Amino acid sequence: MKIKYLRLNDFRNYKSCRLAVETRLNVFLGQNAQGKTNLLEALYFLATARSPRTNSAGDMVKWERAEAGISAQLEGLAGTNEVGFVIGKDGRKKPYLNRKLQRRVSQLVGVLKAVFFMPDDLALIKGGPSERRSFLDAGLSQLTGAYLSRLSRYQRVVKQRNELLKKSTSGQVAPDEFRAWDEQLAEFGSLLTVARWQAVLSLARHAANAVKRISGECLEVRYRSSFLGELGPEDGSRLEELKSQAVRELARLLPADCRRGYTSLGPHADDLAVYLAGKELRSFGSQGQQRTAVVALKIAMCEYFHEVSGEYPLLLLDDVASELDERRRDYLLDCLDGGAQVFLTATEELSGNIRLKGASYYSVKDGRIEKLSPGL
Amino acid sequence: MNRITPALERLVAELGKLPSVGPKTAFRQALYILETDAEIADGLALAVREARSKVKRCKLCYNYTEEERCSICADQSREQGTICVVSGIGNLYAIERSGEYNGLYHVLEGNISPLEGRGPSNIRLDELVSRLRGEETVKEVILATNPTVEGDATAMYVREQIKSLGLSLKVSRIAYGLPVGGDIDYVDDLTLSRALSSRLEM
Repeated sequence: MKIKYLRLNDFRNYKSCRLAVETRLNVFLGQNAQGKTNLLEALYFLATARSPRTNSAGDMVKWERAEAGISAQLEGLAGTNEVGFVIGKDGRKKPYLNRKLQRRVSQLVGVLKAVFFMPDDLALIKGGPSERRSFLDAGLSQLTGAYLSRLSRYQRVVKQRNELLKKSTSGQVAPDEFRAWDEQLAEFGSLLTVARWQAVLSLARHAANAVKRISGECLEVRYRSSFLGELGPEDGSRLEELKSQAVRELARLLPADCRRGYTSLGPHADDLAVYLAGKELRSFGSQGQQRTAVVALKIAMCEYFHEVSGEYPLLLLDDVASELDERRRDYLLDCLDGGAQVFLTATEELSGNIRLKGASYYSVKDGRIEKLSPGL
Repeated sequence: MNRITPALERLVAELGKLPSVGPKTAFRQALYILETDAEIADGLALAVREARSKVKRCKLCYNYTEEERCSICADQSREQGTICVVSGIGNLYAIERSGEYNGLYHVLEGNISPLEGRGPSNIRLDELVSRLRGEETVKEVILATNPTVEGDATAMYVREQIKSLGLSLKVSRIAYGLPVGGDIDYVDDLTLSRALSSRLEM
């Protein structure tokens, strides 16, 4: 999947920007705060309807403007399509597919597919479980529409159930009222668990290959389900009884949940366990090992996209030169050779390190993008 | 907007409280009421007052009526053995429009939703339960709440309540399916997956 054309209007610090993209590798150079990350943010938003930086979409509208418009023309297995969003200052998003307004934002998610890699992503290993869950959800949501709708319904059920738990302390709630929510929590929860488990099986395989080639070490990734514990490839049969087990477990932990005021079991409480040479990487790994694992997981996600959809997503690399040493970075770019279209940003001081064959170079300054001549 | 008179301003404000009426529409409607024939404006005022004073809930199913019982409950030609449970009056009228259903109704007052402060005791569920206890003619209850998270939770809760009564009753849920005349290409994935899992043998 490749972008041919990108248009930004009143988006962050871009007033009006049109960019024709002709190559697979695209390097954007510029000082800080000129708009490099904004460009990647726009591409990621077109793929996922979410910003990697903010939860209030209105923040992306240019100062003192009412709305922002972004769109991209893409070419992939599904032919040529144009995806676009109009984003209001109030955060409202209007999704457009081939210039036609769509009824739901979710209809646009995953038409364009992208994997984002930014300096903060070390949190994928070092941060809390929510970082790892979002990593999985961002990928799966782009790949299957049903995943995204199930996830949002699931989150609504958890919110309702938590509200009920809070009320239960005042003795107003009959226990059988929980059963109506538990049944749905178990239904959507088990479907999400199975989908994530399947994705992790494939991610684990690809990530292990990557780490082996970067550092020769042995990486293991397992899905840690709050219902069933750690799950590996051999646990397929345990998932069959997941739904009924989930209903039982929810009922068993109900008194504890009532005391805490939140639901302690379900995909919203799951995690990804990452081990290097048998030790949990989060607590025992060196900074370098953790970086390697993050690179490996991002590559694995690209490979998973390819496996499921038959094509590579866009790979958006924000300022990776500052975060990764040459070896990891070269590996990252090498292993995707011939595969994903890459958008990479770097500050000019570091640009000397990035000389890529066949790449287009652009300078980004104050919300303007200019193509640099190949000799530069 | 220029200064408008207090009475007009009040009218705009009141109309603006109606659902799906924004400030501009409210203003246009208010001007219409002022500028049209007096009979039309008076007719509207009278209709509002009359509807408020005459229309009440049916004692049995909570449909709107001007009598003790609504026209559906009073109609002996309708199947007395089936009750269709809906979350609101609007849903009842939608089902009636389909012309496909010839049984009775029970109109709930919304769905269970802890976030909005509505529990089972707030949605006229007790009324349904005591009705089922009292009427032995009822053979089937169709749960036709919306296929939202809240509607599904309400349906499940009602099902459990009915089962706990220990009556010999059939409880069914309205099917999840595809819109007729639509193209499968344009149906969202969750609807499609539910339509597949609740497929019918033919």
